[in-house]
Amino acid sequence: MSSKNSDIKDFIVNNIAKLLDVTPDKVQTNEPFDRFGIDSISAVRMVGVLEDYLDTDLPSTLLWDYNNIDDLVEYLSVLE
Amino acid sequence: MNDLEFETYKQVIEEQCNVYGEKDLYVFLADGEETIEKITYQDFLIKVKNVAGNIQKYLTKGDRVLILYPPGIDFNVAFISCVYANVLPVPLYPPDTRSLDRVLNVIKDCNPKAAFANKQTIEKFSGAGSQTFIQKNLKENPFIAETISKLSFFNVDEFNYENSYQDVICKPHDVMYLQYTSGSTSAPKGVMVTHDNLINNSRYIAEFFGQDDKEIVVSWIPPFHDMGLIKDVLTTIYTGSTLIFMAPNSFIRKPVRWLKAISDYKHLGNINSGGPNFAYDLCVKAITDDQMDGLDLSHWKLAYNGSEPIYRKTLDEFYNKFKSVGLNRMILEPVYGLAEATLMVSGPTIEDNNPVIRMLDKNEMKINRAVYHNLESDQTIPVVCCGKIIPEQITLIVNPDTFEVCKNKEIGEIWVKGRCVAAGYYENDKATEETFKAFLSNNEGPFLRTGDLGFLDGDRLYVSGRLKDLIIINGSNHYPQDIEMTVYSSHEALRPNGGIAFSVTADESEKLVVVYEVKRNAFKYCNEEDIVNSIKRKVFQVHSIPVYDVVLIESSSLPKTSSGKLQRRLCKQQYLNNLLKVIEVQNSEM
Repeated sequence: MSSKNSDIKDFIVNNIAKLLDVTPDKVQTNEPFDRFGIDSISAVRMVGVLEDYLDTDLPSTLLWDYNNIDDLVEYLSVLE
Repeated sequence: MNDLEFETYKQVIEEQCNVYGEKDLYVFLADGEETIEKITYQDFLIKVKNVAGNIQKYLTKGDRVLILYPPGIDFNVAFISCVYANVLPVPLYPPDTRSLDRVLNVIKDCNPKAAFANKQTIEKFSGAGSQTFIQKNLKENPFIAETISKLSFFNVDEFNYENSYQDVICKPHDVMYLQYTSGSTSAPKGVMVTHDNLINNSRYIAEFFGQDDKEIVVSWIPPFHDMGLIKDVLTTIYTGSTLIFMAPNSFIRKPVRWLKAISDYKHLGNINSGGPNFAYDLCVKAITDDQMDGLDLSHWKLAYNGSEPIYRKTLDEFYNKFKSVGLNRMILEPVYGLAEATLMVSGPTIEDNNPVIRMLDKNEMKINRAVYHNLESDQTIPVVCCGKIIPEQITLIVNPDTFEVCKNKEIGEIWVKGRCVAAGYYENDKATEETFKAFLSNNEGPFLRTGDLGFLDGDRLYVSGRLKDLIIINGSNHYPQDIEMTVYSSHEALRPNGGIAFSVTADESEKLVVVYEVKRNAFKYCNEEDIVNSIKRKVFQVHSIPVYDVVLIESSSLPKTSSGKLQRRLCKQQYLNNLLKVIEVQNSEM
């Protein structure tokens, strides 16, 4: 994995950990998002945080369109 | 505007569009910031009449028409066009994978003839391929699939200009639209809101909020929600103001956009803008110091807070965070209302030193009495005043067992009778009878039962909880939110807002059950028995009631709504049907 990919991945893992109030090592990147039990407002907020980080426009449904963190990172890494 | 002249909302729209002509009516911030789409009063009316003229050909009076647009000017045009064509608009959240069930159940309930939607949504319904809603429902819900296959789809931008509108006559007690409530997904209920209901509610909103044509309304509240539709889309026309609005997702992604719009448009006039409790919370949590740079909230004249339980903590934190950029504490105004009473039941009182917060005695509350303390202590519960009740409408507090009217400062169910009470639920006599046709023990009525508990202090209304959630054990009343707070404080493995308390009937009496999420890594430092015992001990100490059952569940598995509200009834159902994700304890000692 490129270093850019792993940066994005760390960023997402850290933010989801913050959202769920757990330590980052508890966040499994291949676990489906719906298993985390993130409510839809938090999911849309997460998209806003990612938009700022990557400086690009993303769809609000991002976390429903991709199954887990690994799939999402793969999509985000080919964006630019 | 002298509303005595007007009997229908159609007359209000016609008059205001003529009076305010070239003034901007709706300004939509398409990306939540700089990209602007706008329409003047007169252009709006021209567009509405053109669309109404076109759809009249396909529809007859009273037909239901879904409005499936995302928030934007097209949504507002489509909604009002239906009023002009004398058909019933049904605003709904645009269908996506999460809201699909709800949309389909509303289709089943109201049997619509047509729908307004953009290209994308139309494609999802009726486009080619196996993934369309028709195809997906063909087997399980043939009725829904057939209704969808017969729907006419309209898109406001695709109508050619023609001068074909035939004027229609509406009457004050005609139903103007159906508001589906956010309650149940499986059996949605459509509130029938009349022209008379809406004119009266808009009149009181304008009066209570001090809203006039010199003010600017800023909103991110979705128009398929009664608050966004009535308070913002409709009352803006009623008062001749301008509405600056954005999609809810624009706000949720970057909450500072809401406050930035309030700050940016202050040169146009004083700002009137609000939202539910969670919106204020979100601003406190998500807006950074950098983002606050340059904000000026000094022209924000009224910030209402409604549609969810209101917490003193939120009001305090919001004020403390934004006072440095000009926020005035006096403008934070709790309101109370519900779709069944059009929207507002009680609202802002400019003469009070707002917001008014009372410290209620916990023990007195158990026997339904509101006794105020001057100071906060562990014997008090803060309750926020939801303002003054609408005059010319009867709002009573009623004992839900005896149906007798309660005394001043006695807690009971809130009942309402008057011109803002809607005509009932669409084609649902049973639910209409239960909710809209309640009579007092002296046979006075009919009243609307709100299902909410509260008390009156003179003409000021206080809301203390939901009747159905109240836990009554040994004749005293316990509010679930108080017990949940106690449980949270009983052990470090528990998170705030991570549990639900309710009662069940067991051995012929009411018993307390607590369901609580445990932090993911908690069992590294404690065991299940530890937590359960701490909860039982603490609840008994504070509330003097035994806990019948404690269920510890997996982190993030507690039922909550999209905005994070606890779903107490659903949780109870899951408990009774053994559907909770009970935590599996790995042998932590090994």
